Amino acid sequence: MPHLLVDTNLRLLQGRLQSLDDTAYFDTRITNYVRALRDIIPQLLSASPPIANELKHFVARQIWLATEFVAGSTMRLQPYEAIYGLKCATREWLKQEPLIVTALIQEPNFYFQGVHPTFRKLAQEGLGVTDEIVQIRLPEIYRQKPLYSIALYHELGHFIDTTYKVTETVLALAPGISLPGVSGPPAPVDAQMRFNHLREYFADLFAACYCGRAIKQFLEGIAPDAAASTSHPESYHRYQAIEALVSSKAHGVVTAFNQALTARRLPTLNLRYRPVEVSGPFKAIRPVKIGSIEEVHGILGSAWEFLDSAADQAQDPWNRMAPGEVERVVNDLVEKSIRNWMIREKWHASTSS
Amino acid sequence: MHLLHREELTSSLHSGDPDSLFIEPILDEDCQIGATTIDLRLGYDFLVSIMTRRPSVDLSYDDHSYRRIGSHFQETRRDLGDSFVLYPNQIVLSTTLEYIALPRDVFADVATRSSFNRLGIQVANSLQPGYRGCASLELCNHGHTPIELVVGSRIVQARFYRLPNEHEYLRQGLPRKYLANVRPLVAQTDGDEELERLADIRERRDAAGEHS
Repeated sequence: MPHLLVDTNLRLLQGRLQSLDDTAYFDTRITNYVRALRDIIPQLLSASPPIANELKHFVARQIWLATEFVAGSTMRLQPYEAIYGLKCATREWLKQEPLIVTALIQEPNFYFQGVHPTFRKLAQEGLGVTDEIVQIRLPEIYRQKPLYSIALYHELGHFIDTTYKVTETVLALAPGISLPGVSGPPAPVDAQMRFNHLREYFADLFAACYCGRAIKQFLEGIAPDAAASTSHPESYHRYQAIEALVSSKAHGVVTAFNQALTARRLPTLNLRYRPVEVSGPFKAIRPVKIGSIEEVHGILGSAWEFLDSAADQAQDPWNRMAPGEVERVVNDLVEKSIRNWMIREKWHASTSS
Repeated sequence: MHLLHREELTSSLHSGDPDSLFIEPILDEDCQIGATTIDLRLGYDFLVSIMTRRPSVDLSYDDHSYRRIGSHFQETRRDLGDSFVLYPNQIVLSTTLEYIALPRDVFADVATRSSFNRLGIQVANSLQPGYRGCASLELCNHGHTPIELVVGSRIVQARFYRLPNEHEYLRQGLPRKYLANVRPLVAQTDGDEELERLADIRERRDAAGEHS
């Protein structure tokens, strides 16, 4: 009975998607996506003639994967303020705001999970899902820590890269591009490493456009002295590229990406944030009144710097708090600062007032 | 104690002094600031009380199967303008939409607005001088009919009293349980030293074979 398990899986997924739909949610686009995924399942199960087993397995796997992300996004556990920042960042890159869905995981890593192109086509043509879907996994313990969620910008960079084939364009324009730490004969393994490293550089630089040095500081926290691997460049070289972009210094990798982006008629890698003066308000334990989208991004870098200086609890008022409270308070103040901007934006956009 | 009036409230809110009154966001100043009160709005995060396997919320710490108070609540979130149904006799913790910072010589009390009192919802809270954070709203529907609340609606009002002396909200060696909270928190009795001491008194008495 080769069909039994896959059919059972599809029915179980249908039940799971139904229960997600039963839970009223405030993002109608996610609700519509859930319903589209759910409604394709009866068609798969009852198609006549029956769908090839291999294809059914493939679609079931893709629906299962999609369910992981919509479940994470409909349980009201999304890092809402961080996701808002990502949505703002996409405005310049995409014609339509994408659907960003997140899955919370129990490990200290972030992952971008692309939607399989065949399933994406099926979703667009068969299910009427016109939204671009951005799927990201992040550690659950960071969901209320906007400063520790800045790696989401890195993952969004992977999405932009994948969508527009930026890395492929770089390699097409400069097949022999020199990358730090990648040398030797043009063996296949070297070509794959070159491709992988370029992808990581782009994601880092994309994040730096919005978060500045904070993405470097975050990398220093999670992979301080990582050596080069087939998948990632050496940490030192990543920091160098980020620092070059942030301080507007020449760097071969940045130049190569900007040439590729220009060739694709896309925005180039430039700083898109405005630093925010957080010191005064945060010392008074108050959120900041953010005044622009650039400041929504900029508060992340500014608050990183502030947290660095306040974490030793040497100064007032931090020296009067319990150990660990400084990080919690600063993250919460960042979250509330962004949330207050979001509230004002909605309030002013309302036509009823 | 001096009850602050509209002009004093407005002046303090706009002064820019780090120890002035701070309430953010105030979405409609004309509407929210009254003669002697400021209306505050319902926030977007909720902790909803749920039934658990435990027969009661345990504050006594004398049971090895003790569960933290948070296990009796479930977290949920709504967006601005969404409704939230408050069922009869259900405890729901939320906060004001606004983040509040009080001067060191100002005390505030927070109470339900008249319209919500008439529906059977009563909130009473006080904020110490120097308080920082979104004010906690302990919601309970005392009526018989579920009530659909709207996130962002003006649900409570605060009165502000100037005291003759300044008080430090943050004192060395005395951490605040609810400092700068931006989302509802369950009662933080878990680390309450007095409750631990009372449990110790009870255990010593039991060990000595005394009976109350």
